Amino acid sequence: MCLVYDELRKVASRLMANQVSDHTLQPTALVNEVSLCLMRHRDFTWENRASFFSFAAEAMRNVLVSHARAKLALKRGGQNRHIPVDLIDLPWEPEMEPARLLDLDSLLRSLGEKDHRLAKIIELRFFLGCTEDETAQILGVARSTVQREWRVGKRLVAARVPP
Amino acid sequence: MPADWQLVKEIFTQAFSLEVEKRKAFVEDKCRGDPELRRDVDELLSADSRYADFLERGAVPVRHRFGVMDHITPEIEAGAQIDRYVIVEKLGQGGMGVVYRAYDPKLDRLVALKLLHGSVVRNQKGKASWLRREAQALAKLSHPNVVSVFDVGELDDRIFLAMELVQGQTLKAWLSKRSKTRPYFEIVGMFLAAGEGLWAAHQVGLVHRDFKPSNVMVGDDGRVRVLDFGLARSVRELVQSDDTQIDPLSRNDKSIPDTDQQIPPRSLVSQSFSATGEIAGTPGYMALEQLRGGYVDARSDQYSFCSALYEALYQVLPYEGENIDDLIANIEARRVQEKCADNKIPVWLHPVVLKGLDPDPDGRYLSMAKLLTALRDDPVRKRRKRMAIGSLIGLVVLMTVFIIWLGAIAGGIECAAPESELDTIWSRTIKRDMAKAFAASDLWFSDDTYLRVSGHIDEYMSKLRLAYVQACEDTHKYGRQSIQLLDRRIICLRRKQYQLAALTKQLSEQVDDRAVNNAIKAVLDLPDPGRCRDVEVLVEDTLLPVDPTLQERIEKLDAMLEKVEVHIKLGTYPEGLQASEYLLVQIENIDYPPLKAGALYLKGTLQEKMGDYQSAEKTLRQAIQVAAFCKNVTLLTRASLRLVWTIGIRKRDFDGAFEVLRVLDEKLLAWLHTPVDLMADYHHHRATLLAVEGRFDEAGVLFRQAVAERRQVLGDDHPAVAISLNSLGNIFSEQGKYSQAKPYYEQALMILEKVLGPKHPDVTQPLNNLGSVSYNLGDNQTALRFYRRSLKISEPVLGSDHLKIALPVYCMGECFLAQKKYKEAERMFARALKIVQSTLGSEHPDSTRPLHGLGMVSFERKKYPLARDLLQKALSIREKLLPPGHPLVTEALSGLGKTYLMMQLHRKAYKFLKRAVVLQEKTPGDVRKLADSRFALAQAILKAHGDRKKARDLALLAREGFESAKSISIHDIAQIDVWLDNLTRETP
Repeated sequence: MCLVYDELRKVASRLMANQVSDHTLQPTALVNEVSLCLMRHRDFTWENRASFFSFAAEAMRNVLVSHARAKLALKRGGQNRHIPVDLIDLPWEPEMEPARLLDLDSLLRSLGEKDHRLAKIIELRFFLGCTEDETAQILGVARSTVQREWRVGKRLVAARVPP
Repeated sequence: MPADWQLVKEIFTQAFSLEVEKRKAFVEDKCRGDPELRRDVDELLSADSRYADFLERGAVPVRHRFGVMDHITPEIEAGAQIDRYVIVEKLGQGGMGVVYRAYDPKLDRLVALKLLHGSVVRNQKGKASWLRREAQALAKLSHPNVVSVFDVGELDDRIFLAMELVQGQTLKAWLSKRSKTRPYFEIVGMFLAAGEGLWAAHQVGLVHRDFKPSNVMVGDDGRVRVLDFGLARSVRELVQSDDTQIDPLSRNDKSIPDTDQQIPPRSLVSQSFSATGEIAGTPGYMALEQLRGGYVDARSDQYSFCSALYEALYQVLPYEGENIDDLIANIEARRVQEKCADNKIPVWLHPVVLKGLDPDPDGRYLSMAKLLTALRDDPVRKRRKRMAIGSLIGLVVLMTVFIIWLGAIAGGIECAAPESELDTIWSRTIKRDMAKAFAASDLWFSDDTYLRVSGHIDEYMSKLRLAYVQACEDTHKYGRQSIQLLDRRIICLRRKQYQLAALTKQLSEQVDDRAVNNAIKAVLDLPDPGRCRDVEVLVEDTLLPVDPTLQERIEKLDAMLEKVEVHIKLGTYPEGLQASEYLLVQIENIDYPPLKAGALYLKGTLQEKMGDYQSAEKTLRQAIQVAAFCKNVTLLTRASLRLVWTIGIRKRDFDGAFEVLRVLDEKLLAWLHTPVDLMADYHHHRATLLAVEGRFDEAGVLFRQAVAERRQVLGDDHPAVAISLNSLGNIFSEQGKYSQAKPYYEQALMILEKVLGPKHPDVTQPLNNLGSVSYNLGDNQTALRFYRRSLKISEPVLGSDHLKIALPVYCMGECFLAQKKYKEAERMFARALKIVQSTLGSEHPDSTRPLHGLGMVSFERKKYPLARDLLQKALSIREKLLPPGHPLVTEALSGLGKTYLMMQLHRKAYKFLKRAVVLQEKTPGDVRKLADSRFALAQAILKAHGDRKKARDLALLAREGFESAKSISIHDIAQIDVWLDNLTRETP
């Protein structure tokens, strides 16, 4: 029971961290609600939340990659029928060169096959702007693991996705 | 990527932990004999990670992560520590200090931490401890109507108080809402509770000295609490003592300095003298003795209390003045300001409050207790044996949703729905207007639709009422849920209420044909209020920001959002698009992402509905991005599904659609507790996409799932269930499994007739499908009956030249053709052709159907050259626009081949029939059609090449095909048998 409660507190503080706009949400109150919820949905686990953040990160990646593709296509004057060329204004423009973003995307794709966790770490940190701590919480690993992996990831990206 | 990435990573990590000069040797040793491994490790070791620093900054500028945060600038950053308290965020700022939400790790609870301004207490060593004493006395006071002070302490030269954190609003904010319509007993109820708090403090010798509505909190739990006891005096006296060195404990100080110069005359009464001013307190609420700087005691609080109550009841302060002297003069002369005339405040209250406002403290009530008794002595409500302590639940913005009645006798809580608000949504006037609006429509089923719509709205209203009551009871009666969750539940219910309001308004004002068509579905599609019980749904729903002005604007925009949704439901798309664009401009001004995501989603949906797929795709991708940022899974899913629909079904870009679906993985959605209705949409969309791609088995499974899920959420009788059933039937039809398709169409028809009424245009879809199934099963008579029913519904509405009429007309032609009623068939085909050509142009693929039909009529009438011309035309249009294996192409090839066969042009016949058979074999479809082509090909082979064996084998295959067909075609089989007999006899 203690463990579950502890996990739920993590969920709560995680939500707090990410819903800064949501000022009335108190971790303790939320934990109570979530416990209530737990009684009804027995399968509510940490994994669900983790999946959600992964999902959000992946969705973000998808949007940004399509956007970069469209931008590039526009630049080249190409008429690739799969890419709507008018897809060039996003509410939040990525700061990165479209070509480089696409390179990063394909690196992550191939990295994902060999090293799922590292790819996820990069995805969460870069596309969703998660901190080290948040990433560790989401993936359920120690912070030191994230740090160690991140070091490798950064070097890999530096080597393979040069400016 | 390196082949053995894990090994590369391991060696790199080990090498990295070594000193730089030792790394090379280590790597050399580890990678001995494997130059590739060596190269991969070196690549990492030599990489300059600064080139990847951009990863730390995030893909998009971080400041955009939380739009609302831009409005709040904390002075002490979240996470900072004051004493043992950890700052969470700033809650507000007052004249005397800043209030933070903070966490007390020792007692594991959240507190409100008030940090007094440094300037107030600076250089007050020794004096600060006095303030401490005062606060400590307050800390000992425990009363439900007084905010508890847990702890007092010092931070550098500043004093802080750790207090009970009250979720709610100030009485001032509460009063400003509905100030004109709020019943007097609600106001008095609030003050009675606050008065109890004052009385409790007076009993232990504490005087508030700055009682005013902004110093009273109305909790979301309905409890009223007075705060900031004694601080006014403390701070004031500390400041004064700085100038005058008067002992702060001395009560007879002439403490008001020359105030005239400091106070701008016009804002006199509302001016709160801040820490930088000379007095703390608000002159408009101050008693005469306080304004004069004389002796202050509990009776001064009584005056302030009555002054605030007077203002709350009559919208004006009892005494006004251009400046302090003026004010003092008016009080002395008892020149009470006129109360507002249009007020429904009972007369007995006026003298009760005025007694508390006597300039002479001795003229007031002896104590707060006496005053409270007098206020409770309501002759009207006493008769009803009910005393109301009005209270408000919900966020600041919610206004009164429930009034909780604390029954004077029973003492229990009675929960009620916001009846007056609900009444305006579905009032007698609205009902009457709606009936009129529907009656004005030319559509013959509008009366029936009106009755159904109003019935469904009645039902929905009672569901909504029940949900409100249950939400309240779960917190206040059963204690099953916290106040915070109740807030969210109420917000959730209010959104439903808005949507209903927008719908009834729209339907009562203007009802055109589109609206009549969609009205029933629109009402049935209103979100189930029961879903607001779902904790997951509530926790995910983003709450409103703290800034009250922002809140109000957001709530307004929220209501507009619901209006746009109603336009979508009623099919009034252009109006909806306009509204959504306007809405987006408004949202842009406040930069509130959750709302923006919703508006973008609706705009994208409208663009899709209006056929602007390019823009829709763009808008929906924007919506997805914003929704992902707001972590709103429901919206993210909805927008993604709409995007799948737009690019997959509308733009036929299957790769793109499946790319989106890849992200929207099924398991993931289940994990996330995606609501069942959304799961159903997901399955339906995915299935449609698979069906278009020809993956019928997978599509069938998903459609079944969608049907089950929609039944679960929407009940058996809902148009959405019928749509999924209809699609399921289509899956079987597409595969030629007509008898399996039939029951699904029948169920769909039954549901639609029941829900929408038998005359509703939407009923024609399953009718047409049933016609087609019956035709394909060889039951032409039944098929004709279905088509006639369909035409009877749509012809009067759409006119006899409408494109939608063409389909049943054409199909009737097919039935007549099968019945060998060539004259009727020709008439039908010609009519269908005329409609299609005049609306879509003569090159449109849809025009080839009646063209082909006419060709077949000519064929049957043995007018082969004419048949050839017609069929050739149909074929060339189809080949231009459709993939080679498409059934329409093979059908035309086969027809043309048969025509040439009859014209004795055997080689030509062979050419077309061969192609038809090869393509039909490749893409399995209707077995009878394949058998028909095969038999024709057999004849062509025999005539063109004389290959008897090949011809015979093919004919036998054809015979098998006819036999295996669901409806055995005896005629066709007999024909083959005769031919085979002849073949055998002719064998030399």
